[in-house]
Amino acid sequence: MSVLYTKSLTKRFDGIIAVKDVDFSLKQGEIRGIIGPNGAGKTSFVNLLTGRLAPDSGQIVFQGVDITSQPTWKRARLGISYSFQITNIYSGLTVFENVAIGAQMRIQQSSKSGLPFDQKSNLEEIVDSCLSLTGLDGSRAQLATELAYGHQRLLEIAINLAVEPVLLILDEPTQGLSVDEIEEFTDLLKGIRLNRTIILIEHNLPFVMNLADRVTVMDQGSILAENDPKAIQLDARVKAIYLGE
Amino acid sequence: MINNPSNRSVTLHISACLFLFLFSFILSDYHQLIITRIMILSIFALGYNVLFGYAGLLSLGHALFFACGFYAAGLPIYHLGWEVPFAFLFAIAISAVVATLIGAIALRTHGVAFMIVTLMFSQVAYLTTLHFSDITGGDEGLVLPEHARSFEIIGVQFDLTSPQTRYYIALGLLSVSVLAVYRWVNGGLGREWVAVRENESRTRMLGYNTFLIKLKAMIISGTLSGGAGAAYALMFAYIGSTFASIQYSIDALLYTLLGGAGTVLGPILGSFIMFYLIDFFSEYTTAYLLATGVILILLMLFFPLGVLGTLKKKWFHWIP
Repeated sequence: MSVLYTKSLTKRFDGIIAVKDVDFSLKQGEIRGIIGPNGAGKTSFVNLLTGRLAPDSGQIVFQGVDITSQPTWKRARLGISYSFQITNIYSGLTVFENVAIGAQMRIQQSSKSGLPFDQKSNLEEIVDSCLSLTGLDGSRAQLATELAYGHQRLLEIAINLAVEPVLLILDEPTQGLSVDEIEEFTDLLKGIRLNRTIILIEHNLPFVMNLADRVTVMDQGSILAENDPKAIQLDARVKAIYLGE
Repeated sequence: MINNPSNRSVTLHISACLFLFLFSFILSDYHQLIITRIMILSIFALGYNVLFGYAGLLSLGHALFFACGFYAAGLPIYHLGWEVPFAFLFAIAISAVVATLIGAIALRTHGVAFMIVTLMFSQVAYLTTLHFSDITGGDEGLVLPEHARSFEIIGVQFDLTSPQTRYYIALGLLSVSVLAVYRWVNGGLGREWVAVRENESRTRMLGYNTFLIKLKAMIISGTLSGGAGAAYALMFAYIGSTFASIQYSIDALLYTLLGGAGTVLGPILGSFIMFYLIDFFSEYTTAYLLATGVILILLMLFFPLGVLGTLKKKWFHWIP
């Protein structure tokens, strides 16, 4: 069953078509890589999913609900969580407070929807579990701005995990990370995937091929190819846009 | 128990109120009057700080809310002969309504535009009080009638001409306001305000309706400011347009900046410092505002986050 699908989603910027007639479908629990050259429309496409951009036409359905015209915050409440390409954290607050803001939303949501919710989990527990998942337990009381860049990226993930998203969208998560850090990050994502559906937008092909169950290749606003990583790597069209063959 | 940061900060806030209580026994009438005024204006600053210090919204029009409570309490007493407690509650309710309406409009803007919109609303209110001077008394103002100088609640008589009584009422209102704000900013709502202040777009992406969060700050802030205005009018039995002027908006901002935005007690400390600086220098020179200005500049140089804000950052992280 698909968690999310789009139907002929289109977005234009002053005559340039950034996203063109995209039909996209995502299965529950899969990790999907979205790759493509610069300007292929990857980021515009996910901005349409999160509500940061409004589409010109087309439809977005998330868990059976048409969210095409819903504001960002409502989509986030439904479970779409977006991790920013440029690290976007609360730099003036402590690591704990950063994650607590996410955790508070999760508590509010579960108490409102009346979903079965472990009574014992409180804010601090949620925060601590997210911090230990991302290996930030030691930095609990530190100001976010004092963290090293790699750790800020981890904090970004921890904030997203705290809201317990259904769909986690990671925009260029490995950008600016060292080779070692990318390896740790890969392990982290494998550890947190559990039942989550994840979209990975990446330039780093080995990273995507290693993690993703399926890969979507975008070019000039459209989906060029979609398949499992192995087949994508052999696809002649993909080679053509990447290597200019 | 005193080592736990949250217990320590509760202790600090209760001690501050207790200190003001004990202080009343040794104060001369003159200082008692001044501190009564300061405490009422502190409530105004406390309300201002909810919006500015916690939610990060700089309003230049808070005199509007102060004046709203001020007139909503004073006018019905003067023209309709209402009782004091009823007028006070009425003023608070009206302030909440006005804050909701202004918030719903002004919060559609951000940054400088928000400052200008709030300033304009406030100026409109000020000019309105001048325009309808046959009702409001305009610049000259109105003196509230004799029947408004005392009131009764459950059999207890309060005499508003007694400095002692006024002092305790002001202290009571201030204590209630401090405890309420303390609870809000240390709870979930406070976390939401700070989240919006620090990074609004991130907060929206986490599922928060940031408009509603800001509106709540506006309502609480406006209601506290209106309550302060109502208390001021009732205690000193006078309503006049000066209190709606921009000077009062700037004062609230100054008290907050000086004492420390984003700390509960900061604005109170700020109003005490400002009042006594002016009081002190005006004994020696007619250029007291100049002297006060110099001191303020020095304070901001060495305490850029306000007195309490800087202390908090450097040494006492547990101050809320």
